Amino acid sequence: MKQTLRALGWATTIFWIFLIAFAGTCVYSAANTRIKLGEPQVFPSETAITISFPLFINNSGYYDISDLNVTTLLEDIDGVCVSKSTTIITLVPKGRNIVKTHNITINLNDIAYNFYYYLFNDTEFNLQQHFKLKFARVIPFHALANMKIPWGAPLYNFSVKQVSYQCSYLTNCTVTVSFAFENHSPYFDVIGKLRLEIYNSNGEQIGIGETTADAPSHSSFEGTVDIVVDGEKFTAQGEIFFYFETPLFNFGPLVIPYG
Amino acid sequence: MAEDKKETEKNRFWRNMVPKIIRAALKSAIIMLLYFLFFMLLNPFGNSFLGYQLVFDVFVATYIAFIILIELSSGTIFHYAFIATRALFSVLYVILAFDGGVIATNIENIQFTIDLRYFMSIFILLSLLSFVKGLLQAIKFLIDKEERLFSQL
Repeated sequence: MKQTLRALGWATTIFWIFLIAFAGTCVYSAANTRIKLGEPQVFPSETAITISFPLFINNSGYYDISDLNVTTLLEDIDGVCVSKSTTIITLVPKGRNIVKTHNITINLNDIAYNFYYYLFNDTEFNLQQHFKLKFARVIPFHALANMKIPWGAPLYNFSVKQVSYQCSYLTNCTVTVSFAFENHSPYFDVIGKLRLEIYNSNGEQIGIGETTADAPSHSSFEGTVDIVVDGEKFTAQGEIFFYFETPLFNFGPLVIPYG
Repeated sequence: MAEDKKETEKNRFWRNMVPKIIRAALKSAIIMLLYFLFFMLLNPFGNSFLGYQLVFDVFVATYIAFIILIELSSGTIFHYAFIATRALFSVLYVILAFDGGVIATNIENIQFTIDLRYFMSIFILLSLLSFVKGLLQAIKFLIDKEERLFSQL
């Protein structure tokens, strides 16, 4: 029994030393591991907006990092998922640096149902970033960052200020439409073409006009368009159709009645 | 004569106790040192583990109290009883304090979760092994005591 107890004593002591050493080196390694997302780059296209983050992983510890999973979940204010992007790195060996790109793709078709709302109303998005990994292959680690991203409407408070007309002859009238909006977006400028179509109360198109809009981020824009219309068809009441064409989005018609 | 005997007994008591006290102090100092080293390693994580500091503090304080009790009671059955109790305490405390092995902490708006269940399983197994060792040592101590009494007859 004495020998058994002695063996048991040595075995437990050795295992305790291993366990304490493992715990210590794990904590030391975790302190020397750096995972961070770099500066984002935005790539707009006709169907989607891709936000690309470089993902830097510097594993200076004593243990491998495995099953690294970076997931970004973008939800609108109602909790509807706008975009979910995942990047998986199966192994980051000890003492290695790895750089990988984490892409967040926002499909414009997915937000089409709310596109009108996003153009004209300020709101906020909820961004969840999940980092999951296994440290030393046996210690799962999970970090969850939750942040609100404010969304500024690029065409906030778009309104027709005044519609006036002047006729030199009965058949030759000029309608002057003045309109204004505020670009609340912190992310992009609204630069592009604005096309107007005027319809009389019978629904007939009586004139077309065009202007350019240049509203830098966080600025107001006021514009005036002169449209030559057929004076015989012009009515005191009608509708103006607005069409926007910018490198980032095309939108229209926005129908605003006049008169 | 009686006074000499009393003095001798007193001396013998202190001769027995002094090495035990020194051993207890040394072991406690080693545990404290390991504890401070552990918290030095946690330094880069900032205040994120402050919520668990009290948990660690209570564990280490109780562990040191057990070390003192174990050392002072060496040569008695209580020595082994305290070893077994310490092992059981470690198991129960770690399970309860760390919610079954999943540590969750918040830094600003980032929530961190570390799953230490594998690590804790090994810790619990080793603690149970220490518990079994304590029990076996207690049994051996009783057998030895009986054998000594039997041989004196």
